[in-house]
Amino acid sequence: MAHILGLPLGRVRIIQTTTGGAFGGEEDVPSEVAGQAAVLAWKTRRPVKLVYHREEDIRSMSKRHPAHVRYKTGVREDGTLVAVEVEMTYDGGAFGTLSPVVLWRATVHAAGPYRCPNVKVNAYAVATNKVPSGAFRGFGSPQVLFAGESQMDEIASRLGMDPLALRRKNALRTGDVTATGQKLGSSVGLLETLRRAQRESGYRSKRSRWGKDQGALKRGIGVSTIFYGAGLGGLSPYLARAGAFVQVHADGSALYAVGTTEMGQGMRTVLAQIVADELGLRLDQVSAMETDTSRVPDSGPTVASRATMMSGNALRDACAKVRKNFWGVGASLLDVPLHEVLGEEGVLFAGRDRRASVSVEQVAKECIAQRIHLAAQGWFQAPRTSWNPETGQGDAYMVYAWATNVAEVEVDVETGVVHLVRLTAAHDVGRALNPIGVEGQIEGGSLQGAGYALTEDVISEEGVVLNPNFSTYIIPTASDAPDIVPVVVESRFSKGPHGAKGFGEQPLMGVAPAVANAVYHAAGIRVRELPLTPERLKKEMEPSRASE
Amino acid sequence: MEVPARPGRRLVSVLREDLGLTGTKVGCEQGECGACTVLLDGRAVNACLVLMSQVEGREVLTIEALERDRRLHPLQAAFVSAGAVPCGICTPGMLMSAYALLRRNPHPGREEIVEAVSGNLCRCTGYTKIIEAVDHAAAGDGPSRTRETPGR
Repeated sequence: MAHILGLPLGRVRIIQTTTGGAFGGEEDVPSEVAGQAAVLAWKTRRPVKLVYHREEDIRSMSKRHPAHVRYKTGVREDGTLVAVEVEMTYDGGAFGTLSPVVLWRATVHAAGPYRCPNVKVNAYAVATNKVPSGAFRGFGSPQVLFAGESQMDEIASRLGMDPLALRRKNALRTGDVTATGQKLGSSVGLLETLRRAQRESGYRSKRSRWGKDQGALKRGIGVSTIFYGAGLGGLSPYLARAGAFVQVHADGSALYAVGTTEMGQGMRTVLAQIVADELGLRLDQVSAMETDTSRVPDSGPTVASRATMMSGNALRDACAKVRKNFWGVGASLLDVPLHEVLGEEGVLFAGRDRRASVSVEQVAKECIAQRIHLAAQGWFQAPRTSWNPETGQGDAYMVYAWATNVAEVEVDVETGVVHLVRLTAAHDVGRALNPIGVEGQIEGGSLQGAGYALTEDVISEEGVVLNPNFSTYIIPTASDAPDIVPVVVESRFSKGPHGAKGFGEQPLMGVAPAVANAVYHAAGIRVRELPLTPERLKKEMEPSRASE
Repeated sequence: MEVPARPGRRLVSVLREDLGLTGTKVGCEQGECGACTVLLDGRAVNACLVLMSQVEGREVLTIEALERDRRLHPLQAAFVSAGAVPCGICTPGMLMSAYALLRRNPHPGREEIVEAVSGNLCRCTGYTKIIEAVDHAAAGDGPSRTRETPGR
């Protein structure tokens, strides 16, 4: 806005209003819409509300990069990965926008969550006469993971090995080195997600019983494993920071502010939990301020599943400062040293044995009487990464999340329709600060992944989107939803707030390859293009095509 | 109530712009997403496809009708308890579809709940917790009326 209006940044204030679902569309494109409204407001000296209709929105806003990915893998007879060569071309649309960063993330994740000593990745973005592509849940990785995870199953098939066993054999563990030369720390829950997904889904018995149906309806079960660098990573180190503000009022209630945004992912709730926990308050005593650039310094975009980690840690920093004063007064009321104070659900206790207690309301009242300062700003800088953009080596992300998806499908070979019956989604989130929220993300993201796999396709001709409404761009309805079984694995991240690492994008990422692999198991059809439409399946089944 | 309106205007526009009842949302303007679901003589309809001429002399119920004396309706409370309100935009439409269902069928099976909300698109939840919430509300599992909604 400052740039568009020619103002110093200090003269511009952005306040976020209620935002309904983002998934990437709110990363850079809002600046366009806001800019248009700002110019109108500036010129007319009146408040301006600008609303894009659904069709205008779909026609003009950024979408996931369509991509062409070519994989070549070298593997030993016993299933050990030796070499992976990837070439990817991403359709960037008319302008560069986020393509460099999208490509970088895709490149880092191209070799998959496996040990492999030789990796070569070439990534290109091309300009086309279309709306610029942009951020969408997974940010470049779903495309490359679809290709890589499909190939893993083709490898398993060639070797006569079970696909899950192949993945288990090559899965990255703590202490292993990734394709970028990063040595993995302790928060590596991949094998745990594999183990639990296998068990929860009944994979073994279904894998041997299915894939043999004689009739038109064929059942199959397929797996995928993925990983995802949480946070912005080494490419944009200057963005790896966040601020926060917290204040405690005279009645013991607290108000907090952060620079990241709530858009239905549950950030506000998780952060309120953190504040309540840090200050010893009840959850209902904590309120969030709307996100306002004048309240907290620039904390970077709410992307890359980073808000819990970055804003969470910034809030902990702010709370620690307030707690020193707040609990300090509590300590004197309880007549114990500060380090012996415990705070929980609106009460401060003296010692573990809770031999005395005082309500936070009483403590706050005493703070007011003593004119104690109960507000503070917080700041968090992500641990420095050693990424070298010239060599493509180093620590790309401060931590990775891991996931295993097991998809159960029923394929109608007469119509080519794939019915996703059940999806077991095991995710390593570090620590589930809000279990219902985590489940919700898994359920919602998995279904969005199913849409990516089966029905969602942006069709353009001569640069114009031909299906700009919900009757022609098909997103899953309640009738399409499979049985989704969320499995939460907690492999604590020492630098995350209470062990949590970023979580939000991962549920979408591994669904498409798991479904494609299940389809292959069910009907021997290998479709290498998304979405897996009936037309594409039927085409693969034509007698002129050799079966895989 | 009496509202002067041209017969060709859409119900959703009159609700939001003339009556300030912005609980009913506009998602697609084509009757595809269900965000504008209201009840017309007890039947769930997309307000973006209903003309004012069709509404004359009939009962229109919007999401604002569910809350009573600042207390949430059991359906609303059930949605909150189940964690079925992530971003909230589909929620009014979902609640109205569910409300219409429970009014005609107080004890629906899971299949019937799915069908009732299959015209309401949601991108956040995967529908799981929404269906759970309606199920709980129908079973009377949740609180009958919550404590007061906080003032704004």
